[in-house]
Amino acid sequence: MKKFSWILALVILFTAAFGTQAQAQKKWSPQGKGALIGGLGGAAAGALIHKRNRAVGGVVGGVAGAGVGYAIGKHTDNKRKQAAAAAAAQQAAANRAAEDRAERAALASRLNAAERKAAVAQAKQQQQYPAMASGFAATATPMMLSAASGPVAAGYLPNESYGDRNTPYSTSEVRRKSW
Amino acid sequence: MKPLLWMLPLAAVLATSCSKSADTAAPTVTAQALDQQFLSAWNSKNAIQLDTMFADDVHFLQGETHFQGKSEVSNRWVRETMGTIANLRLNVASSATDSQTAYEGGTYNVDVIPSSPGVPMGSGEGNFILLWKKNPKGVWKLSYAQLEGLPVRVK
Repeated sequence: MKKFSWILALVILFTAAFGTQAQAQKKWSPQGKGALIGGLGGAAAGALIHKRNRAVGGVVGGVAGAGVGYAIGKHTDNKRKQAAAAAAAQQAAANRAAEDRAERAALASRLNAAERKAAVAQAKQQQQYPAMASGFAATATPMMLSAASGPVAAGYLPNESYGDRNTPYSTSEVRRKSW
Repeated sequence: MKPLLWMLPLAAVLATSCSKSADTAAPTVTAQALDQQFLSAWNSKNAIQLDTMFADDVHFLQGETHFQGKSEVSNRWVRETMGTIANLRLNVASSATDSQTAYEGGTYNVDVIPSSPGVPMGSGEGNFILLWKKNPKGVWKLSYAQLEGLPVRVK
């Protein structure tokens, strides 16, 4: 019986050694790693503790150890996956922000270019037709929005509180409030 | 009991005299007279006199606005409008007075004073109704006023 237990111990040692080798060659999942380490540790402990029947002790200890090891490995795996997901989300957000910034910068530069082009065109036009250019400049504000050329021109006073909802007739562009 | 009997005829005489005086006083106040008082207070820019004419629960409606209560009507209608208009005239289309209520309704015309140096003088017109009610003390108070302003023309 003693012989058997020594053989079992040897087997355990070998498997442990192979296990570490295999681990070095191929990437193991944390669950597998946990189960293996737990199983080996459990088997050894079981064989040591159950002195009367070391085989049964080893098997029971191995099964229990493998179970616990698997659970610990799974927990570690979950944690790692969560961390990876968080990192990925952060990366994606950073990418989006960078894209946004780039887009805004491109828009601003396009706008700038357009403004410069318009300024150049206006300068050219002013050189060619000075009177006409100033005429266009005068109509830069929309006609209906300016009180001088809007409702007053039609013979009515403009509503100075247009849009102010605390006053009567706030929706009328022409002044209606007198008394 | 006997010494008090003389009070009966005295009380009767007093009661009849009081009711008679009340009857004779009522017809003298008409909606026209009330509105003339109101109008002259506006034209003389007497906001304090106007305040005394409002009932405590007076309503004022104009366009989207609805002011209620003496202080709100006084502050947001009378005091905000008084400096902007002059020479208010009423053209009454309908009027009636009874013992408790009096009303006048019709159209109004008013001069609109320029609000800033560049703006021309305006001529405003619109429709109105003024409803007067007697308060518990027997004094006539303006209970409801509704105005509908038409576009203000340049004068």
